[in-house]
Amino acid sequence: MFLKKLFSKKSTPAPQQQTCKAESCSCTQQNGYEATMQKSMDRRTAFRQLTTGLLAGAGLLQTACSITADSESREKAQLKWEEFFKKNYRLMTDEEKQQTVDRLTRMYELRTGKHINMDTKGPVQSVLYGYAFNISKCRGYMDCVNACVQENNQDRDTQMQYIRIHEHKNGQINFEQAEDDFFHEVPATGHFYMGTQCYHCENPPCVDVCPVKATWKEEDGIVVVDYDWCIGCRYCMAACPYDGRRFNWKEPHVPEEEVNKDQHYLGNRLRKQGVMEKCTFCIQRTRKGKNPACVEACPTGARIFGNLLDPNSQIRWVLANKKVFRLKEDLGTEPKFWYFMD
Amino acid sequence: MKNLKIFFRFVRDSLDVATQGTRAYHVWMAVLTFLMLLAAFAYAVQIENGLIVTGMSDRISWGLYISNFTFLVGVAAAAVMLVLPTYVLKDVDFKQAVLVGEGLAVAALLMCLAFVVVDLGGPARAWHLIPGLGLFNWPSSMLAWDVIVLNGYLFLNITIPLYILIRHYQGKEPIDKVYIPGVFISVFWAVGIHMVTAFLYAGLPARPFWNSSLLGPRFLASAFAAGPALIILILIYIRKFSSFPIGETVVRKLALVATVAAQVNIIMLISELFKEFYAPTHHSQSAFYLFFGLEGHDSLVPWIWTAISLNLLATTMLTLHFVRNNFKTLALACALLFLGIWIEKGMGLIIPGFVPGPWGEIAEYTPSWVEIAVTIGIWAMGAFIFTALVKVALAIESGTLRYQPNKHTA
Amino acid sequence: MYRHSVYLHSVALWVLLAGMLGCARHEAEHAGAHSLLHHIQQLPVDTIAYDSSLYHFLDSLAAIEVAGLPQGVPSFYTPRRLHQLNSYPCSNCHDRPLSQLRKEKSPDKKKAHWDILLQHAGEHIMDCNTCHPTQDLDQLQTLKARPLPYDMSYQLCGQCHTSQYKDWQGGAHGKALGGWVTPSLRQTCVGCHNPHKPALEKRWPSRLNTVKLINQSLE
Repeated sequence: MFLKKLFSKKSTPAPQQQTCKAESCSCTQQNGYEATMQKSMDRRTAFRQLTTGLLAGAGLLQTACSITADSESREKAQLKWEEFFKKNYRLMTDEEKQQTVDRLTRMYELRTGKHINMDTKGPVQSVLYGYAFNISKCRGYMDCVNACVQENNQDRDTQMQYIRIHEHKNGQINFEQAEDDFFHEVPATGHFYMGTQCYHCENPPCVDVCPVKATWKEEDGIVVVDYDWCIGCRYCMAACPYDGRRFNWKEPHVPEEEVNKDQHYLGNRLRKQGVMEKCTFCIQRTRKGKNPACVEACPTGARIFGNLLDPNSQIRWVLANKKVFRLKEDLGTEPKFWYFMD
Repeated sequence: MKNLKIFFRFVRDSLDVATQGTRAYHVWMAVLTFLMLLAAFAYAVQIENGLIVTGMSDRISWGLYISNFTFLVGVAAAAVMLVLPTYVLKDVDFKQAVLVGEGLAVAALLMCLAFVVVDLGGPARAWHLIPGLGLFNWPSSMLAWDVIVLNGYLFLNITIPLYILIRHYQGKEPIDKVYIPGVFISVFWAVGIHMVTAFLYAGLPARPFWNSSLLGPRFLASAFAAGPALIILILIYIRKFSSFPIGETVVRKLALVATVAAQVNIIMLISELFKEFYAPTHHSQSAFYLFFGLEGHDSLVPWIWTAISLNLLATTMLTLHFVRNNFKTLALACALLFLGIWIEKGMGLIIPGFVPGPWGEIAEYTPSWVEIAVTIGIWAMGAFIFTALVKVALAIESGTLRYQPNKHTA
Repeated sequence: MYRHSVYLHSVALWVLLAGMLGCARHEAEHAGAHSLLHHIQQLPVDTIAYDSSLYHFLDSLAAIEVAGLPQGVPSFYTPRRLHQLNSYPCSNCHDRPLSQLRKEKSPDKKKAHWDILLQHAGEHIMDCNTCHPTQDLDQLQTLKARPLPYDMSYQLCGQCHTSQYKDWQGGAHGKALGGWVTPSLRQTCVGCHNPHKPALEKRWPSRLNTVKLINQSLE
């Protein structure tokens, strides 16, 4: 019932438009993506031209008024100003989304001289992402964590990580007894491994508690954060029963050469001090049909990702044929993250 | 036009009163100002470097700030214990003291809001919380509720006394019809702010230590013990050091309120302890951490036992008539009670909620110098505001400050 | 008069509280009876396909469709095995019977396949000939001595490892390559497991889980 409502009522205007596009292209399934991308690219270029024109105009005006400040620092100041007063992402029109993306891209360019690609691709219709984790297969190699950190531009100084791998002794799943800081050859005899991260709950408690609607569940089930809207009260962190959220206690730092430049507004774009962030199922990848970085990096095939609404997907086969369980199911959060064994 | 003139004169006269006083008064205000400046420096450090300069972490993501916020909501709510008898029950004894209570509520609320703001990671984006301008997650988020009820209560507690004072300032009696409805609302609202603040925590199944239906009532009980205790201390002080007439009966009646609330609080504490320790479950881990320590981590243990001892001692003292009726021992008992509840409802409530973490991680929390400095500064700010408010209020109530239409601007 | 206004205000408060409960947290419907899984089975279905760039990826791996899937199991692809074999075809060397090759052994000639040590199930169950027929080494052979191309080696593994084989066919076992969209591409058995020594070895994790340990000593 809950999900039905989710799919019938489209409360967020922006994704709706995106989904409509996907729908209209469904006749040419294989090229659907390309068509969508092409179409939006055209529009984007148009907006970029328009906005750069506007910006140049504004810059000219300012140059006329001011003699001392150089044009670059004035542009920076103006971009910062406009960024500060922008709306919550969900209230933005497509045009406004493009404008903020252009501003962010330009700000990065002014800061580093490098270009980034920032995406605002919305959810694809009839997709609900789900994840399965095979605790018989995970061997504690931690390759997923490395891949995740690189993909998602997490702060290197505090070694922020979305994924935790817990080493359990055979015979119990007791997280209080589990070892999280293991560093020995793996898998250790008599132990098994279990990864945790954001479970993208269908009833996410973190979303309910946010006082400013800076975090929400997208139509494809991904729980995202608008990093520029978050005020940093950390209520969501207290509300999450799964330790799925991470806070930027300081200005995050990623060496420029390590920055992943394929970014999504709701995903791995660079964050700032004092905002919340979390796993987004690699929204910048998965909305293009790729697997999340952790799935791609896992050498054992313990991680399975897919569309819960597609009865032919791998994840649906796992749910139908393996004995699966979820953690803290009694809380009613309905995680879209299942564990299973061989 | 005339009203506006009176209002401006009122403001100017009030400022005159607030800025003039004995040497002790000036020293006191100067010390408070110094502490606030110190806090401003510490806060600047925090703004510059981020919340990493606090003792908080992903494990324990709320600390001293939110602890003090929670406690002070209770202090603010306690004003109702003076408002209710004065305006609703028409108890003449309380009439002299009620403005002290309301002043305390204003100061406590401003402190609450300050503690919330300093706890934010992006205080510059706090405007996202303003309905209309930002995007308010109401009614889903309890924090959104809290912002509404705290500001609403602040509004009530500023406007009602302001109206009464302006009337008295002109030598007139306030008109019941104007302010009594507000008083009734504020009585319910006082209970509301504290229940909502309790719901903020109780609504999180992720944190079993808070996820208890007793949390709301327990918040109220401790608030109605700690708040009146503080008011008693202030009233005793005013009685001793000023000529303002505060009846003995007010203090006695308030002491009775604090006593009953402290007793109820102890009963609820016992009830909680029984539930946690008679048949301990996985969810009792936080209580074990708080009272006995877990795996060698026991930084809160001395604090909570101090708090419990103080509460028990103070409650026993208050329960004994001869102790309660002697103002010297009463003051001591109230001070102990206030301190005990501050520990118990601050650090003793917030920190254990995070320990152990969702996956059993045990971390310790020690406030950093920045947090301590900012906290002291905000308390100083509260004391500063309260002192100024009470000084003006007492001047008007005692009749020394009156509107003089013919007085020329000095 | 006051009584009246007390009444009004308390009514207002209760309405407020009721509203709070009504809107609070999870919509009541979700709780209990109907779970997520129950819902997803009734929702409209659409299958998402690779975009063209991922097809290039499929090409680069020379992926082939997996054969012999049971009824109802969605089809998927694996990378070709033959492309990864260095000295194929085997008949380049194995142009005469093995017994004859063995006789020709001389001190100056290096031993072939010296690096292969069979550690699979035990000598009394398996030897080289269990999978490699002596007559035609360009193909594998099943337990029933029927020839099987290298690209279909998974069928050979599936003879004994039936449960793993079933999981692999369905998607619960084996590493996914490419994306989550169709067509699905999965590593074949020998893509991860050395057929002569199928057990995976221990190794050091590629990093630590948290900051804590690094500060202590390890670097």
